[in-house]
Amino acid sequence: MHRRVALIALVVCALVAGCGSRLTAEQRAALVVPQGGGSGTQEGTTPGEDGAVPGSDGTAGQPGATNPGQPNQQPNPPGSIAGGCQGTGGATDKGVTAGEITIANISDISGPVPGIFQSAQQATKAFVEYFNATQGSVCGRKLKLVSFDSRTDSGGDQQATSQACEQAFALVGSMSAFDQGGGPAASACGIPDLRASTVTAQRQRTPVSFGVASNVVNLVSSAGPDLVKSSFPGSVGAAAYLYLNADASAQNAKSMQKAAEARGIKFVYSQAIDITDVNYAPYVAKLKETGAKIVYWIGSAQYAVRLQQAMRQQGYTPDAFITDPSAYDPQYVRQGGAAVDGTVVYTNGALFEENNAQMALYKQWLGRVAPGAAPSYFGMFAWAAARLFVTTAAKVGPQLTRKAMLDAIRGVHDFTAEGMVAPQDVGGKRTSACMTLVRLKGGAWSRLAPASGYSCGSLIDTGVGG
Amino acid sequence: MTALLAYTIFGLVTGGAYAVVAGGLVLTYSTSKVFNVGHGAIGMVMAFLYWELAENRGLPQWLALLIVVGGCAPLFGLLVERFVMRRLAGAPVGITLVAGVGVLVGLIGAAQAIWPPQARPVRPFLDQYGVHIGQSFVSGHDLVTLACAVLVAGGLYLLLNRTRTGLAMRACVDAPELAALYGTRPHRLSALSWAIGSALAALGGILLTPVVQLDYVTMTLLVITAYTAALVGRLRSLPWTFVGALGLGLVQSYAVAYLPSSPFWIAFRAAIPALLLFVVLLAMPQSPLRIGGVRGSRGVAVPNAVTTGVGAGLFLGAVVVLALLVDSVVAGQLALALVFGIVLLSMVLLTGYGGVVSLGQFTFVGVGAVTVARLGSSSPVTLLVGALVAAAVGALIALTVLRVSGLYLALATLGFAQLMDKLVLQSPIAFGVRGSLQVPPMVSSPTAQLLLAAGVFALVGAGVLAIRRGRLGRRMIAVKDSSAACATLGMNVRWIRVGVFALSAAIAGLAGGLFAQLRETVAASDFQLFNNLPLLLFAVIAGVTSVSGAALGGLLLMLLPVLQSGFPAFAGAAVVLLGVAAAGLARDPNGLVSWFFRAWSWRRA
Repeated sequence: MHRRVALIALVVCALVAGCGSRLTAEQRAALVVPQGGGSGTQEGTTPGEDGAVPGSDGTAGQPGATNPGQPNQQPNPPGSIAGGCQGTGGATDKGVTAGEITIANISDISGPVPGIFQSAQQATKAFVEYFNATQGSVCGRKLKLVSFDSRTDSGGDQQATSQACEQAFALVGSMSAFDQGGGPAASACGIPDLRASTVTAQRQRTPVSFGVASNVVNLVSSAGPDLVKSSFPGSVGAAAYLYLNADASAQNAKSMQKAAEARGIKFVYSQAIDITDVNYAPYVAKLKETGAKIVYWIGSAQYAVRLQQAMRQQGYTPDAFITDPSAYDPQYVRQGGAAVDGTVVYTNGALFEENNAQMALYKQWLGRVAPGAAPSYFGMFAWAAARLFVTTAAKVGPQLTRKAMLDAIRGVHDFTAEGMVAPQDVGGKRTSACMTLVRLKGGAWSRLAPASGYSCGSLIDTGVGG
Repeated sequence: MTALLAYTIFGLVTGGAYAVVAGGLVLTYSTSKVFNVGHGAIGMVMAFLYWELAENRGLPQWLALLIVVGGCAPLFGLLVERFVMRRLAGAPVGITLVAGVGVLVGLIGAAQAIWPPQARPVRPFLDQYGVHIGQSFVSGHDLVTLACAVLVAGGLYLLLNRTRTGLAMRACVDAPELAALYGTRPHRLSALSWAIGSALAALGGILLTPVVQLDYVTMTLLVITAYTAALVGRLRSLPWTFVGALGLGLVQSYAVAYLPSSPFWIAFRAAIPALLLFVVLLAMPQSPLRIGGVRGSRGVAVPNAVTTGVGAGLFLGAVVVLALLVDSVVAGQLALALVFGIVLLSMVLLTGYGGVVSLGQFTFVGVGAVTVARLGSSSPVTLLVGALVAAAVGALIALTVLRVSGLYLALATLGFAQLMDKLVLQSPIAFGVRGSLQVPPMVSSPTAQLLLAAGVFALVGAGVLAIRRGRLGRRMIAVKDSSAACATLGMNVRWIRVGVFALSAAIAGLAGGLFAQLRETVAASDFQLFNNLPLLLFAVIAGVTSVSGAALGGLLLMLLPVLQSGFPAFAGAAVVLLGVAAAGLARDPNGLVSWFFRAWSWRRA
């Protein structure tokens, strides 16, 4: 019996040593630091309704673990993403004390589609928990998260941003469909706004707002069309673009079609589908009539399912059905079933199915703060935004001010979050030039092209919606 | 030719789905005189229930269909009739519409609470069967939809025209007392029609689910398209409703096939149901003046000029105190509530005093907002320009739609709102293709915004009361009570109504300007068609006949999303309660504030 226990111990030690050799410095730090350094969430416990209550604290330190008025005196663990900064800057700006930085996340939680961007808030919360528990502090300051619901409404975004201006130092990982609402308020109070992604042109133009998914409508990477050309060489002479007739979708579709045309893809049909349309069969008949071999779709995944079900019913199977990363989601697969098999998604983030250290951390801590929640594209970028916030704040140092933070963010041009996302020009607000194609096959997503990493191209200015 | 055949088939299938939904609407309206705005919501909830039984619990499809369409839906219809609609017999159109909106809002809340968002695929019927016609394929589910449409239309026609029960149903609508003398039981027949109508809503919802997916709002609002079909049959004729539904489906299908895909034509395609609705309403004969009775209802007491002045002063004083006490966020929220209150003041004038129900009032808010945004100045003059533009649009619309009255007029305003949404507000001349504009604020701080909104509310409120006390107000009330008597006395009923409509639109436009500069960014999405429904709901719940009702309604309208967000666990329950309250309060046109006034009168007595 003792021999068996010893053998198991030996094997476990060998495995840990072997795995440890592949750990990043950040992960090693996570193992070195004792748990509980400010995190209140214990494994196995269910957190409360995160993110739903305006102004609610999404994260709290363990009682007595952190005093907001006192800097955290413990040195950061080796390899901490906050580096070795151990200053005592005190209350240098709104939302900053000697021992704490308050950040806010504003995402759409309630509204016509409840929980539409909850994943962004969950990911930000997961990162804050992870950081406080394993990475020490940012120049003696722990992170504190305040969550707001923008209610899928520009007015909700405006109100939440006004509140956040008073309570928090920065906005981190936010995601709202009608994010134009909070732009003027953010601009007026000068709050650094490091979003998962900016949706509207107005928010993109807001001087203090930066999307970590740094896409802008008029700049499209040539990598996307080039990857499609190399993956489906016989079909690029007959493509079709269908899109949901909604603000962002329509503009993105027009811009992306123009870029694809510039790279030699020929479009035989282009059409908007209104939200109120009931039957998609006439559109499928038109696709058949025009002989389209590749179908691009931009719009919500729910409508992509409807279109593909109509295509399947009419016996029309294009060589590729290509859509945006919102379809790269387990709900899409469950809703669409066999009808959506073969879907190709372009993405500028890492694959959830592949081994990426940062992705593994995201999934691990997401499981802690929201058991059962699936990782998502927007969650991934919200995590990346939170990570960028911490590393940038650490660079700014103890004298953390909103202005200094904004200046530092403007200098971020090739942010990858340790390979979690393709290089993003966050400070320059320019679309990422790199991309990956992912395909759904047999109910599972796998890489289509390139064979590894990302394929990078040049940016094409389409002049649409800039 | 083959392509034409394919588009024809697809159009007929879409039209078939519309026909099932519209058939239920026509049945309930033609037998109870209540236009059920919540019809689509009933279909949506029943479709969720069907998913629960057939997909989640694993019951055979036919059994789940039988349980839902044959059991649950009729039972629900009976309950709605017994506890909501029966009490509304003979009530004005606005009241019956609000009860329907209450059912709609309550059901959406219930569905969100019971079935939180997740993937819910629903299998089509007879998926393994189908027919190839030319290059197109008509699935088994499509054939089932078409067959159901034909059966529903035929069955309802036979029921209403060839059976004693059907004849009695129709007789009860025209003269329930007389029908009762002949031995019919009006309540029982009304309950039967609601049970059948609810079952048809469920059938429509279940047939549409595999096509449009399970969704709270899409399914609920789909029924708006069916309104057009129902109006082709003038809400009475089932054969014409069937023709209208198929025609609408065909036009939509051909539009996809043959219209260009430029931005204008894309918007035009989306506006086809609303355009057809307008065409149908314009083709209708002018509504005759109602004779044989005065329909007056007792409103709340109207204060005299001195009391109004004192009240306005007290109100402003209270707001100043509030502005000093609350933080900037709450001040901003209260300012928004007062802006909504001004919108509701426009409804006090139009609906409370004028008796005209508008389902497009938020569109005038959009017109005012876009005018102020386009002018791009922080001068208060822009507010007046916004109000004038909204008034001009209102007058134009009034001249077009005021030839019909009652429910038709309400539906015409809904059609107008849809047209404006698709063809104007989303076009480059308004908010542009990216959908939003920046507006310079007139005052910088939320506290100043609150004081500005309070000042405008007090002015407009006092103005509305002055109108009510004056000659125009007396004429409005007279026209509302008996337009025939007014016409006999030589009054120009039409111009009074056009004037009231334009004035009401001007107030809404003024509120739109304030809304725009308060928000600093406005988008077409802020003025969507759906926003008109809660507006009417809160106007009536709070009290559409008084200025204080408008203030309370504005506050509730602002608070609802805040509370939904702040207490998500109770959000569904809150909305259900709201629906129940609407259905209950709808009987009292003076709303919640009238309770306060009654209590005050009792205390003084």
